Amino acid sequence: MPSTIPEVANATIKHALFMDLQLGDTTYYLSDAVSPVTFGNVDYFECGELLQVSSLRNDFKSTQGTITISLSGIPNKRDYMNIVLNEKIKGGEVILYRVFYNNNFEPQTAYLRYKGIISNFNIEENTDVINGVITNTIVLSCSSIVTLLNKKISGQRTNGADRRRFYPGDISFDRVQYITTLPEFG
Amino acid sequence: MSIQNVINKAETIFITPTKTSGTTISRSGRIKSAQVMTAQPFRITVNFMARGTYADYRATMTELDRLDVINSEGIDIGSTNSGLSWITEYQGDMTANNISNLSITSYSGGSILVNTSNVTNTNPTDILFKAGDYITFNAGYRYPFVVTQDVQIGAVVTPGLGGSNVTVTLHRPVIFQTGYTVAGKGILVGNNVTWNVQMLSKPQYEIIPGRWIEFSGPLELMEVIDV
Repeated sequence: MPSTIPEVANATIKHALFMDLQLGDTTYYLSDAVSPVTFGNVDYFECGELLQVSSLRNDFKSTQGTITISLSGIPNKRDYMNIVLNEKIKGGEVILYRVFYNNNFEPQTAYLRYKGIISNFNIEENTDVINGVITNTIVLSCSSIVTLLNKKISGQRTNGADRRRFYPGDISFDRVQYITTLPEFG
Repeated sequence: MSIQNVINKAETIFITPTKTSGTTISRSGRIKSAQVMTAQPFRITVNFMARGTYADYRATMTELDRLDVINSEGIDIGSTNSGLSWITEYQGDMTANNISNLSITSYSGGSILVNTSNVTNTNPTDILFKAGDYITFNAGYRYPFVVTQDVQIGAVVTPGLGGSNVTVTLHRPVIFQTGYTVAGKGILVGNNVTWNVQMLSKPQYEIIPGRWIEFSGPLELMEVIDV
């Protein structure tokens, strides 16, 4: 369903990105806002970790939206490097909201921008000893729900139990295992 | 105090609160802009004096090397070197005593409610703050703000009779600081305002004949915001 966003009709808008990021069993709440904000009963408390979110693609058709999220590899409130390496992060839910502010810098309305899951991660570390520069970035690749549905494997295994999941009482697959097993002679 | 030493002997200083924004101009000539709600950290660019004696600046250079682009330092503009005080000096009509009697009632976004109940001997038309005044909060607050509109003190009502408050608008939102409560704190103005800054890039210094040194470029400083 399309959302009506009256704020974008203004000549000047002020906004911030809020993110719910599930890593392992814990959901972290990040934002690129100036200060921690409580919105929708959630404290978006981490303002120093989010480096970048790649551009989002919006279509009329449902498309496979893949985005990357860059987090700081330098530990601040959280050591995301440690979390990413040690938690089961694949499949963690990622939700992005765009929150509009008024001219007094107060948050007003949030709109959902993206919903997906973490499909991969990548750690980018570069060290330039000569110039004395290091970079340390965690890049999370996220796939939208449509991508997941396209990858979904559907079908039925050829055994009796699986057959009866779809057709209760059907015994036609009960003897498949005997057909496929080669008889032993001798 | 090395960054402070460089500032105190600066030839030019650029002070820029940095917004993160994007702008589009349509074919029909309409301009639209979007601003991300960042902390708008101050960027301060300092051009050092063209040439100094090596002996005088060895300690400064050593300290700059220690700070590098990793550590931060608290600086002021006009307090340790009164010759620069005109840059940040307070422009309002309040006496130092009356300034010390101000306190913050509350804040919301980019405006603060200032309790003026304990101010004495003022007229309602006296200027509390002028646009361009630098202010911050006392007792360890780290972030300065610039007042964006002239504010008159108005009628002062003593606390016993209900008290009085004045709204002051700032150039950026009040920034949360861990362990610090804004409400009830006093206000520092003018030369008493400090910045906590870190070098974005460290200029090289060149040692040249005649026992002189020169910096290879300006000192690019950025305000450090708590994470």
